[in-house]
Amino acid sequence: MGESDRDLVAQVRAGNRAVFRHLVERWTRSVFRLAYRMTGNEADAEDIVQETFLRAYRELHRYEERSSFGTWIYRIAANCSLDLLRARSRQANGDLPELVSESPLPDRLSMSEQFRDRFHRSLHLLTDQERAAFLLRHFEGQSIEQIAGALDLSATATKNSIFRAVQKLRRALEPHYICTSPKTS
Amino acid sequence: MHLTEDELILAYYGEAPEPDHLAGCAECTAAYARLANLLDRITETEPPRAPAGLATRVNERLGLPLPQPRWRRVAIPATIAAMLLVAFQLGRLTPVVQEPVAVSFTISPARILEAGLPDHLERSRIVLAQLANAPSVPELDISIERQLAEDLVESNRLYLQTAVRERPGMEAVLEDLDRVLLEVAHTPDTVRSADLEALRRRIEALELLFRVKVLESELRLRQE
Repeated sequence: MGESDRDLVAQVRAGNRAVFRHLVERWTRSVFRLAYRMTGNEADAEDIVQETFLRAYRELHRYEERSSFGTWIYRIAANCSLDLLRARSRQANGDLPELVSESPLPDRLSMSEQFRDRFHRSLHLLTDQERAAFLLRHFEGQSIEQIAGALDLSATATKNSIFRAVQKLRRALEPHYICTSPKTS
Repeated sequence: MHLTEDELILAYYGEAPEPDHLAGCAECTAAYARLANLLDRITETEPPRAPAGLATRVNERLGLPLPQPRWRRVAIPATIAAMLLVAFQLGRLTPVVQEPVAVSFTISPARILEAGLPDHLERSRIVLAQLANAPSVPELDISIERQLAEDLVESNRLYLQTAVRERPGMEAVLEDLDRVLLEVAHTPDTVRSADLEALRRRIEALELLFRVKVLESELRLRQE
């Protein structure tokens, strides 16, 4: 399992397709995290993980080695997530997305749990594009150019999506969690 | 001029347009600290862990099984096939009994069918899934699937013959499986994308992956 992603991809392309399972095992957790943050629930996230690796496996010949396998798989996962969210949006006939509840959270939750809960619900305030751009930048460390490529946007549109996402999150979260120390648990 | 919120966001992500200003301006430093405080806390939020066995389920769907030692891949199906053949022949050759006789031990074909068939179906399903999900390339090496199919054809015939007598409900699935396995076994090691696509369509039209999976699950439930 010490082989690089590129080595594994090369082996799959050379005909040893069973090796793809190592890439699945290596990247499942990361793809699941992104998918969960995009959709907000485990069942959808699992479906996205399945679909992501299925697309990656079928389209492996399209993978260009100048980008890392991680960048490429995130790109597929982000697009699978967007496809699912768009389909949901069409089904809902334009219903408003679930808004962040202002109701107090149960006292039994610690501050960090309350923050996590509110953050995940706040993600619903972002458009799908803003959410994808922000998550890829913030959690996956993707560059503006990589995100722009993944989401088929210009660099300016990508930056603006991230700016709007951060602004919305600040508005949703800061009134509840203005803290002087960076870590509170 | 102080940094805008957008510029502070860029600074947080290491793309500050004016890093010198940020370092020397108390107001911008304070605004940056507030923003960084929130974004740092967001970084600490962990989503739930991926469900147990998710990677395994993905690999199963792609038809990517755990590699098995060669002896196991050959020995298990061969043993099951041999037992089935013995049971089948016993059933055929045993004359009609006129008088009660003492039988010390009899292998029931139905029991062997239930014991060995789930594994056979699982292996067949893996072959079908590998072909159904194979990458779209002009020419694909399917020598592994072809060889596996070749191994499976013979035992599938025996299961089919036994099923006809013992479990008529299974017959249709095993018959369709027989046709597809035979087709794969007779396919060249390298297949063109159009031929692979045609094979995929046949597998889909027969709903074979689904039907094999259902039968396999039913039999495993019975085993429990």
